[in-house]
Amino acid sequence: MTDDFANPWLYRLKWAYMLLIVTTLMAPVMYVMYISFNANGFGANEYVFTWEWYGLIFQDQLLLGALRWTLSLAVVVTLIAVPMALVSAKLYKQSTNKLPIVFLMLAPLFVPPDILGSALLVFFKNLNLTFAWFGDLLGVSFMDGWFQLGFSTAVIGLIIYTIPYSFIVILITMGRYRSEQTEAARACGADGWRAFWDIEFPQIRAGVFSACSFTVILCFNEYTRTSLLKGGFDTFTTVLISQMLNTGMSPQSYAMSSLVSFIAIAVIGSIIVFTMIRSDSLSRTARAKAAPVMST
Amino acid sequence: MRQTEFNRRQMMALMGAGAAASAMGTRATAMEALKLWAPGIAKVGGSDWTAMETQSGVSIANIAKSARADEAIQKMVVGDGNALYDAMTDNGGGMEDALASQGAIVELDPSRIPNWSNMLATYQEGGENADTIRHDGKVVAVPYISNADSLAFNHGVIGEELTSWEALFDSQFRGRAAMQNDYGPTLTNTAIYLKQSGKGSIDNPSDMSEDEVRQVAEFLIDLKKKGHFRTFWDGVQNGSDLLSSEEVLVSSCWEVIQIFAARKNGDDIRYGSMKEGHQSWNNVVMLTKGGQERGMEDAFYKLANLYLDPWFGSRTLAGLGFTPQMNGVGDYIEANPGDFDDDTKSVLSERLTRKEERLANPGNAWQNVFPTNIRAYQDWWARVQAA
Amino acid sequence: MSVMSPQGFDGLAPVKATAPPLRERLARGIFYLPIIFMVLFFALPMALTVVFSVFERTMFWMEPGFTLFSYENFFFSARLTNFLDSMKYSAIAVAICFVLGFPIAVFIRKSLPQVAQHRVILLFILPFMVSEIIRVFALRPVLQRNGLVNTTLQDWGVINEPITALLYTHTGVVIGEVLSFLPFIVFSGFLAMEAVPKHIFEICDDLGVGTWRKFRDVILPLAAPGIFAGSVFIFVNGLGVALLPNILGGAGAVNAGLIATQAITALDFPLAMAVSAIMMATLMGLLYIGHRLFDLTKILTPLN
Repeated sequence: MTDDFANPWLYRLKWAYMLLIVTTLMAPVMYVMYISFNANGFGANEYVFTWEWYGLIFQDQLLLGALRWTLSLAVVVTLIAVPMALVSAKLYKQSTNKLPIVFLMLAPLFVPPDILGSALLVFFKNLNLTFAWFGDLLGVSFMDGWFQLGFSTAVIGLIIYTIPYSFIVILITMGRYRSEQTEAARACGADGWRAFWDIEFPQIRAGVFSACSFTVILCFNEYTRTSLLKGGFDTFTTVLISQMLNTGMSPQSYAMSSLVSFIAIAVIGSIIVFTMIRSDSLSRTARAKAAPVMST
Repeated sequence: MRQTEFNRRQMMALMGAGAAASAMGTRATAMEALKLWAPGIAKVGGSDWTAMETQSGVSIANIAKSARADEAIQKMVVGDGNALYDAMTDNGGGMEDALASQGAIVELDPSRIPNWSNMLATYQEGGENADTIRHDGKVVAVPYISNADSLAFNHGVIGEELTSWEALFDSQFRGRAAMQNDYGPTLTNTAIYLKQSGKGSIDNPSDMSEDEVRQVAEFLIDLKKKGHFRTFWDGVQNGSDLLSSEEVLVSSCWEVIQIFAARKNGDDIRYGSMKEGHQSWNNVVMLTKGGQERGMEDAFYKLANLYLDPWFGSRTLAGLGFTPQMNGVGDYIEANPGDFDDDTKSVLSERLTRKEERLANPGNAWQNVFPTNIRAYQDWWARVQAA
Repeated sequence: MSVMSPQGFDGLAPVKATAPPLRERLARGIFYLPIIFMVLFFALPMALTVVFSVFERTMFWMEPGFTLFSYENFFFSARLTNFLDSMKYSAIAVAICFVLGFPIAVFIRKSLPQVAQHRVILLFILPFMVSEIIRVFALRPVLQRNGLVNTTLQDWGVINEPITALLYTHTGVVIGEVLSFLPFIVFSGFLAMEAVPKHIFEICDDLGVGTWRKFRDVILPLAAPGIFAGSVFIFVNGLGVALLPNILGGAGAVNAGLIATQAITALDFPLAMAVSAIMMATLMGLLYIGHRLFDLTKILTPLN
């Protein structure tokens, strides 16, 4: 397109640089995978290869229980946050005063975890006091536990944390959608929902799915907000931190982390391969169609 | 109750009934389990709580605690930990007073704990540390581990036994020394040194006046400016990694850190006895108000009884190096050669002897979670960090 | 034009003549639910931190009152030094991230075929698959005294003595920040480059403009809002994520997040809230300046 193609060596150099950066960023991940196979664990001088820790993961009730809770948090947050982001993205596109929406949806990105966590913790405490007081006034008690620390408070914290990412990703894919298509559908008699579901959604599906995977990953690795706002259960990272502070991380924990990243890498890898095959065939068709014009 | 119930229902929905049934198998009784909020150091016998459950006859749903000082207050006083936990652990001689005064934990009935009479004399009525498990004279906590913290040092590199805190602050270890990243233990240990060596005028290292805190902090700031401290460690993993990687040669730390560091690469890393004295502490298990209301008292007393049983004491001594809180651990180890081989036996008896020596030091000061001038501690600690 | 605009519905009146307006109002209400949620659970709690920061501290909690003690305690103590220091090092981390990461964003946008661009961006998400805590901790065996970097350099004969400044120093924290946040400058740079049409490069090439001038006069002004947003993100997280100085920093590396965490550890809630309010004020100030300079809504302009 530009000078890069004129100078293939420069182009290759740039590729090499980018892959070097990616490798550097991935180094800690690879290191965790490497030590997860070490019989002697983290920081040992001697390396003895073993599968043992992977076998032990599934006997460790503490880790398995935490993993189940982490998964449920991730699923529930995704089911709420992604539709919310989708709706906000649509609202953003049709509103004239965009600044407040952008601010509300993106500002959580800029608030550090410890600060958001403690602000919400104190807020929930005060909400509880208010509801309890209000309940006393009315002589009812059903509102007392609404904002007691538990699953739902952790979900609220995580939604605020993840929604900016989904919002951006969905907005990017929506940018390519032409709203005339919706108008056409409406003119043909489809109601708003049908126009969205049958016409628009298929075109932004990729963005919605990326947003979902983003959200799951973010929930999985979050610590500070979850730990401050959760109730009487553990997530994978809260178990890890407790181990790190009190007994040292168990080798099973490294194995579990590696296993999760192996799976994630496999998923992302297959997405890349899948889209590559698809877009290849798409562009082949496109090239075939365009060939008469293009051949000069 | 609500949480576990939710867990079950949700899992059924999420993973399909079949998968959930097999996954939940061993936790099928989780509905009646004692919800115990405790870090991993409160268990022995494996990476999960199975051995503790079998031995106590109570099913336990453990929630991992990071054991930072604020966590208990955040959840139990600010949050609503009473709805979440039946029982919990924390530092005795401070936290139990705080929690009891806020109505978060309840009074206990020692007669329901058969092993109570076997508990160390120091905790019995009138004993030296009796107040660390009592609030207003009433028993509110059961001790499960304790220790007198000291200096870990790399004997292999240093080549001599260290017996004074002087070594930690000595210029030969410039850039190779570490202390804990927590104003409580670090200021207290330094205060013990300054007091006993006559370098500072400190009355009570456990509860210093503003001026005394200033003296201690200024001493540390001066050293820090010279580049004496490599870092301040936080947690077991961090602390033992520093020692085992030889990043530091001397470190004021918990005994479990020294044990793990020595075990990692087989280095000769030892835990000394300091002639000036040590910061001593214990950890206690408490019954929450919510736990009592939910009728979890029986389960709690069964678990508390296990914590005062030599079965637990001998294992925490062997695995993590904590001091057992009951008499008769030596006899128990002798009587169970199947669990403890000869090598372990000699290590344990030596470890116990050194512990007794440390604990007997008149210069010791109890760890105070809430000193009177907590604000001065905080402010001066920020200055140590900024130096 | 839009699905929801009243005109749209009016235009379709013949089809939907009997549909109750209630349903439409309900449908329109759904669009505002996320906004309400964010106001209630994000904007309000953050605003309340300012209120709580002037409350009186009690032993375990706080009580209503008015005192500026927490602010005094922040601004006239060592905490201010710590805060300003962490700002400085955070800014350094931003600069390094920009220098290392932005060219990648330009490269992906400019030199890769459209279909490949998003897939390449996915590569930068991979590191997030392992918990940040483990990733940060795994840096220690790399950077420590007898770690990977030092032993390698010693083996090559580049240095005789291990470099100890790599870990437990501000340098260590900066390295950690760069490795944790670099992908974000790639993401935001990638987004920002949407604002730079491809044909501009061709025009520049036709005119024989040099790389530096092309960057300074063309790319930078157009991509500025996105670059700014990415930089603020890294800067603020450098100030606020307590984990990095805690694991990689030495005795003196403290940032605002750690100050707040330590205040909470000491049960000084008003102080923690004051730190949070100061952080929010810093952030709002930065975003305001950025908005005045670049009009931040432009970040998303190409998507409108």
